[in-house]
Parts: sequence; C-alpha cells; structure tokens
Amino acid sequence: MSKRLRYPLLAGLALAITLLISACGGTTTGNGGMPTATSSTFGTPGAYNCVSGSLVASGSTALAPLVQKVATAYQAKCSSANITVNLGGSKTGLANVEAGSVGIGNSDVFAASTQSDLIDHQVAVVIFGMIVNPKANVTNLTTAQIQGIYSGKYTNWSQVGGANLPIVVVSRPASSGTRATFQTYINNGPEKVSGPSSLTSDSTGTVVTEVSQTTGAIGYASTGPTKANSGVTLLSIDGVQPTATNVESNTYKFWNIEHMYTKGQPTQLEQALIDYMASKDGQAAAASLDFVVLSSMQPSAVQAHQPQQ
Amino acid sequence: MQYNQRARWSDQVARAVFFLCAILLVVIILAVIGFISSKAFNIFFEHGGTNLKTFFFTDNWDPTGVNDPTGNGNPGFGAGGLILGSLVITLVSVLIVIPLALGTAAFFTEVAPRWLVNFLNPLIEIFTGVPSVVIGVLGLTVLVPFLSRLLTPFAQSLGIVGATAGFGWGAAILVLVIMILPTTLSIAIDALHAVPASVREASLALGSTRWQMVCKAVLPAASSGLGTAIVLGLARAIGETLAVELVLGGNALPRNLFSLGALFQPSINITASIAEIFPETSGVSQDAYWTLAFILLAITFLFICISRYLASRSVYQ
Repeated sequence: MSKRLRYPLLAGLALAITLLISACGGTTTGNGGMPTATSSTFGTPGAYNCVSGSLVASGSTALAPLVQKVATAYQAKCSSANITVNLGGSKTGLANVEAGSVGIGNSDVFAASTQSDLIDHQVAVVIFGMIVNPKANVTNLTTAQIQGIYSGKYTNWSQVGGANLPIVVVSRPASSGTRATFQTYINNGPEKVSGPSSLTSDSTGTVVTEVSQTTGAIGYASTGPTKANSGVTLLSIDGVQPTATNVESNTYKFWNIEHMYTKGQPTQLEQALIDYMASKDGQAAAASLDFVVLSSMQPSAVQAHQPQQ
Repeated sequence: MQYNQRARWSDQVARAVFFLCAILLVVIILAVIGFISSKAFNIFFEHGGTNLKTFFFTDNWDPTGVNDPTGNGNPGFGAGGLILGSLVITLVSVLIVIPLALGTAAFFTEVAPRWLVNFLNPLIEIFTGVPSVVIGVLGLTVLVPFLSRLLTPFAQSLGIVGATAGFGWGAAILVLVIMILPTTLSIAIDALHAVPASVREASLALGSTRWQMVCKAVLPAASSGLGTAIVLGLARAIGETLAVELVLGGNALPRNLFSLGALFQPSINITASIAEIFPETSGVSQDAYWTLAFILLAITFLFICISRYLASRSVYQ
C-alpha cells in the first residue's frame, strides 16, 4: 500500500487491538490491579444485593484488609459495582466522611461527639497485639511493663526479662485508631517516649515491617497482618493470648469494635456493602483475616468498650 | 477565501490559542499560590493561634493537641524543627547531586562514545519515571537495615542507638539523591548539548586542554541551563513526601543537633508531617498546616531566586 496510508493504518490497528484487549480482559475491580477473588475460600454463599454504582471507603488501616476482601468478593458477584478502599488512619476516615469526600469512613474508634450526623455501623471486632522483634527474646509482658516501656521507664530488654538489647519503641501518629485503642485500654494515658529510640510509622503494615527488621523493636498492630509475617513475635499480655475466645470474654483487653460510618442514612450501595459484611461470606472473610464476629462477643465485653460518657 | 487571507487568519487563531494556553498556566499557578497565601496567615491572627516567634523558632509541633503532657489537648505550634529538617535534607542532597550531575553530564557530552550514550539515555529516562513510593519502600526495606548494620559499631561514639541508626536525615538524603539525580542529569545534558560548537572550538584553538575547555568554557556557557537543572532538582527534593516519610520515621528533632549523630536518628520534616496529619485536621490546626504549605512554597521560591541569580552571572548572556 502507499506510504501515506501505512502509518495511519498501523495506528488504527494498534488502537483497535488495545480496545479489544481492554474489553475482553479482567472484570472491573475497585483498585485496578488487585485480582478478583474466587469464592473458593468462602463457605455457603451469603445473601447479597447487587447495586450498581461506585463507592469510596477510607480510614482505618487495620480494617482495610477486611473491607477490601469483602468488596472484592462483592464486585466479583456484582460487576456493575465499583468499590475503592483507601487508607489514612481512623481519624482521617472520620474526617473524610464528615466532609463528604468519601461514602464510608472505616474507624477503629467511635466518632467524636462533634460528628453527630455520622451513623455508626459496627461490623466486626479487631484484635490488636503487641509485637516484638524476635531478638528481644520475650513472649509475654505484663500491662505494667508495657506502660513502663512506653513511658521511657524501661530502656533495655533485660529489665523486663529479655535479652540485653536496647528497647526501640515503634508508635503510630496521632490520627491512628490503633494508637487511640492502645492509649485507652493498655497504656491508660498518652505515650511519653521520645528520642532516638522511638520511631513513628504511618500504617499497620509499616509497623510490622519496622519491628521485623529493627533489632529490639516493640510495636502494636492488628493481629491479621502480624500472623502473616513470621519475622515478628506476637506477645501475650498478662499471660493471656490474643485469641478470639479470650477477646469474646474480654479476658484479653487489647481489641476494639470496627465501625463503618456513613453520613446520614447510607446509600443503596453503601447499605449493600455493609449488609454483605454481615453475611456468611463476610463473616468467613473476617474469620480468615483474624477478626472476631460481632455476634459471638459477650454483651459485657461489648459494654466495657463503649465510650465512657 | 484567498490563500493569503486564509494563512493570515489561521495565524491569528494559532496565536490566540497559544496565548490562552500560556494564560491558563499562569492563572493556575497564581490561583494555587493565592489560595494557600490566603489561608497561610490566619494562624497568627485567630483565637487559639500562635505568634511568629513561637512558630518559627520553637520545636513542639502538635497542632491537634494529642501529645500534650498535661492532658488538656493544648496544641503546640513550634515548626522550627520541621523547617530545619526540610532545609537540611534538601540542601545536603542538592549539594551532593550538583557535582555528580555536572560531572556525569560533562562525561556524556564530551567524552562518552556514541554507543554508550545511546545505551544510557533510555536508562536515565526510565530512572526519572520511577515512582517515589517504590524508592521509599526500597529505602525502608533495604537501605535502612543496611545503614543500621553499618553504623551499629559506631553507635556509642556517635551518641545514637544502633538499631535506629538507619532512619533519619541520613537515609532521607540518600533517598533524595537517588530521586533527583536523574531529573537534574537529563536537563544538565540538554543544557550542555545546547552550547554551540564554536565555544568549544574557540577554547581548543586558544590552546586549552580538554579539561580546561569543559571547566572554563563549556560549563560557564551553559550556566543558565544548568541553573534550571539544579532548581528543578531542588524543587523536587523539597516537595518529596512519600519516599522521605517512610525512611525518616520520627516524631521529634534528634538530640545533640550539631553533631554527626543527628543525621542518624529518627527525625522529622515538613512534608512527612503534612502527609501524616493534615487530612484529619480542621479549624485552627488545619490553618497551621496551610502555613507549613506556604513555607514550602516560599522556600522553593527563595532557592529559585538564588539559583537564577547565580546563573545570570554567566559570561554569555
């Protein structure tokens, strides 16, 4: 063919092939790039309600893996829905949903009393744990010892029964719901460490990475990502292991209720996602990621973790 | 229409379209600067705010009042530490990058054989496009443990903790050097290519060696382009958020600030603080962050002015 026609023809062919590939390939997923889950890990299929539309949830880095897993399963069933899960920390999620920039705010803590138009949907219970670097050589700490470490009283692991290594304290920034839970239920007050032995990291995942690679580090994170990482040791507190049974009876105290807040009444897609979280599929996902199902908690335990008025 | 009229008319249209594009660019830049400036000074005038001296010269940064030792939630607005952190890592990384970039650019244009240049050019372009979060995660998982292991034997003499020696300004400077080197390098290469051959020929004809030609004729001739290269590297360095946030890892200034050990303790800077806490702020605490954003703009502007001044003292106007 003539030279003038060749290049436009090639360009047109390339464009057609690109369109063909994008039309035939992958179903729509929330954050383009994450693979859609096959439902082989779930039990009996749960009831779900297909609503089309798009939704953004943001907030807690501890709850995000569960919301992401449920959202991916939901989108696998309802390809007309488009759900994105962002991070940022519990307080950021609350501020975002209050400002209207996202549809659902994931939070490890209750909303502030000034955010009175947010409606609370409690979806699961997250178990937090204290994690230490294996070189520290401890498997259990008392609450008093933890408070001593986070106030700077203990600076060497040998003072609490471990190896002779300096203690490096890993903490979270002010917007973190994990940190707020830690300060309320374990530390009984704000953290007071500072100086070269204290690190601050932005999310649950970064805390786990830093604790696993910094000699003598201690930090707190949700137990889900911790169990997946063999480079850290999960501690028992006061001799109590962080298992679901101990959380249900409130013998183990480092846990919190996970909330998904909406501003006013939720839209249809938001309600569908929240209902799907409570369905059998959602509960199976929660159990697989080490969350506790809300319905199996003892009422006295749930009462103990309501905000003190 | 006749051909002449059509040509003139299309000329006018093209000129109008390009003018609009230029105006759009100027409007966007002025609008961003105007918006940030309009909110930047509120913190000094409103109830619950602070004054200039506290803001710039003290070091207790806690606008949401969460770390207040009295437990009352009193905010702290001392940004001196944050500003110092940003200035230190930007200046040191740019100082390291300048000789590296100039030397490599001179090598590329004067000395390197054709096949090597063709091989390295795409590599530099790929390097420029690497996302900063990738470099940040590489820094956190590879550079930080490596630095910690390297510095643990010297921890006592430097006054630092060996396990956290990999965090802080030292690691941030290394990460920033990796990030801004390709940007600065590609613009410096273009600037050196743009020097006319007559400059080189004249210098060699006057009897200079190759090194003298590069150092005393070509580099000064390209100085305005090199100034642009350095300015862009600097602007990228000061605004770099994610990569630096992952390797800084601190919440306060290092102790013993004027010693070498201060580079190897967990530390802070402006962009990491904005990234971590700004999204959840409101009211007075958010105004404090707008002021920080304005300070970033002002520092960048100041550095640009200095670079432009230095570059304008070139012999070839």
